[in-house]
Amino acid sequence: MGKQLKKILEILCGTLAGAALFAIMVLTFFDVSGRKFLSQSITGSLELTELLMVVVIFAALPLVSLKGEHVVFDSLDGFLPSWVRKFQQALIHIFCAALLFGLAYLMWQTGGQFAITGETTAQLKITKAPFIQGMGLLCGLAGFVHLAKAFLRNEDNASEGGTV
Amino acid sequence: MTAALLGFLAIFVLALMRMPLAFSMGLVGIVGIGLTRGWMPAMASTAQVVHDTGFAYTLSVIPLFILMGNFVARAGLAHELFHAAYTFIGHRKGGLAHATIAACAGFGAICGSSIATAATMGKVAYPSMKRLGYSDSMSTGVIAAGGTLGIMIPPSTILVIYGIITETHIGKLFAAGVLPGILTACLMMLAIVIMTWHDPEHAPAGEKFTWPQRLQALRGIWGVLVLVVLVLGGIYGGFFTATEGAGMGATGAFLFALARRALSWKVLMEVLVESARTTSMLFTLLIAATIFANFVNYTSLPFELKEWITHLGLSPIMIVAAMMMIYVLLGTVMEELTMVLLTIPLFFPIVVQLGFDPVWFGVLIVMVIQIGLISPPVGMNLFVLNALLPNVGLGAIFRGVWPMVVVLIITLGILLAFPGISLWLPSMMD
Repeated sequence: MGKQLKKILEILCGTLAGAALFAIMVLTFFDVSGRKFLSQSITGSLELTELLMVVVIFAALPLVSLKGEHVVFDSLDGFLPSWVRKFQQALIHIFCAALLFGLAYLMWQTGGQFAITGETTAQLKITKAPFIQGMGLLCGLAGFVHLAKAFLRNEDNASEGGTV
Repeated sequence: MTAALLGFLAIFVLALMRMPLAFSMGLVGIVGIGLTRGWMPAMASTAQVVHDTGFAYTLSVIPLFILMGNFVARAGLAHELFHAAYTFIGHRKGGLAHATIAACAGFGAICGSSIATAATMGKVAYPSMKRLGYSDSMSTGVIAAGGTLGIMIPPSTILVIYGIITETHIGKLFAAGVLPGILTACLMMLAIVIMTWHDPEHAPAGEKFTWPQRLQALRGIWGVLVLVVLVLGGIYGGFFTATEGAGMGATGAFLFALARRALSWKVLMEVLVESARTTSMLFTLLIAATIFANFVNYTSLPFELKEWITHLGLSPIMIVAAMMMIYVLLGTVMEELTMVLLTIPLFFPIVVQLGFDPVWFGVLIVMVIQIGLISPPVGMNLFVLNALLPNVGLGAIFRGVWPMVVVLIITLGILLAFPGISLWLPSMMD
């Protein structure tokens, strides 16, 4: 994948996801300390955390794809000739991209429905639609990452494979 | 029932073709619901699952605990934990191996991941063991096994995920992990005693420290001890929910790392992005597993399996033991979290119907995951060490770890036979 594009993606998504995660941490800290020690909580902290969680999960998704960190079963790799493996990987990337584009479309549509009904969060009245459509956009971006990995020559970065 | 079985088969075929497991589960779930219930419901329920899992306050417990572990790991605490343990028991035969297990247990009280614990301790303990003349198989076997304590001793990512998918109280699950974690560590140490007695030249004794030196070593870890006591004590005492405790713990770990000057802007960003990526990867699996579980629950498989098992005439404990055996076997070849996510929709209702405590079953699940993580040929902790220490072959790691696999299987048997070990602490929270 183009080095510059990769760098931009890493900075953009990384900053977004990292900042959102840091914000969740700080928010929880002040909310809990306020509630437990001063009997005063931050208004809407729960729903802010929910919105920020969406940002953390979906902004980091293209990076997970970029680094090939999704869990895969790669024990057969040793038994396949390298040309088969290359073809297989390209095929799987296209498949993943298609799936993510499908999900992106679905979430964009769902966001659209939220926009029509004008649904907001309960306390702070923040409109939810942009966040749901944002989920869709970031899924689409992850889809493009897979597509790029299918067609561009890149290093064979296998998954670390572990989640626990 | 056929539909669900075909679904499982499809997941395995896709996974074998190297499709990421989350994508395999999600795709099969959507297509399964589409074919059995219609495409509109399939799309609607998928959007619903993605929305609900994304917008979930309680699930923020996952990234916050991951963050806490990563901050403390970057603060270089593992060195001090290991050194403190070493000053107390290093002069005995196999002392470094004992110190490694103790340090892993201590690190496990901050970190909820087995792989992270093994990787961190691998960097810290292996060089010391090598210097003292420990055999590669002995040292890597001990580190790989000790690493698994990370998921039994709370906080534990896997207990959180189990708690979420089965709607079991996370605080109680954490409390339940404490004694089994300590028991596992003790049995591992016992195994080291037997191994060094049998083969003394593999694990020579280290130097002896004076009491003032030991107390000096403890000074390096008191900050984290306070953090652990505050966070876990707060959760057990009912002062915090698990999510609140995780937030406080992550902030405490952040301040701890900051105070030790371990955080530059670059390192802070690295820790945050790494934690976010792990979170995203886990949530992709969680979303996909939920979609697949919805499909399985639409089919008659869970009901028919329940019927079939109750008609076998086995005693309830035998049924759970059989499940554990299936898990241990599957764990040798499968990625462990995926194994659990795929099977929980089938096994959990049976266990509950048989009248067992979901908290106890959660502890058993963690134990089989621990076994899976270090049992060849596919054991993630072994691969992590192999990647970390390229000059130690997988063969040596396999040779070193098998006594520990036996230890963990024995521990599983003990936990199965004596549920009280897991359930005593949670019972005090009522």
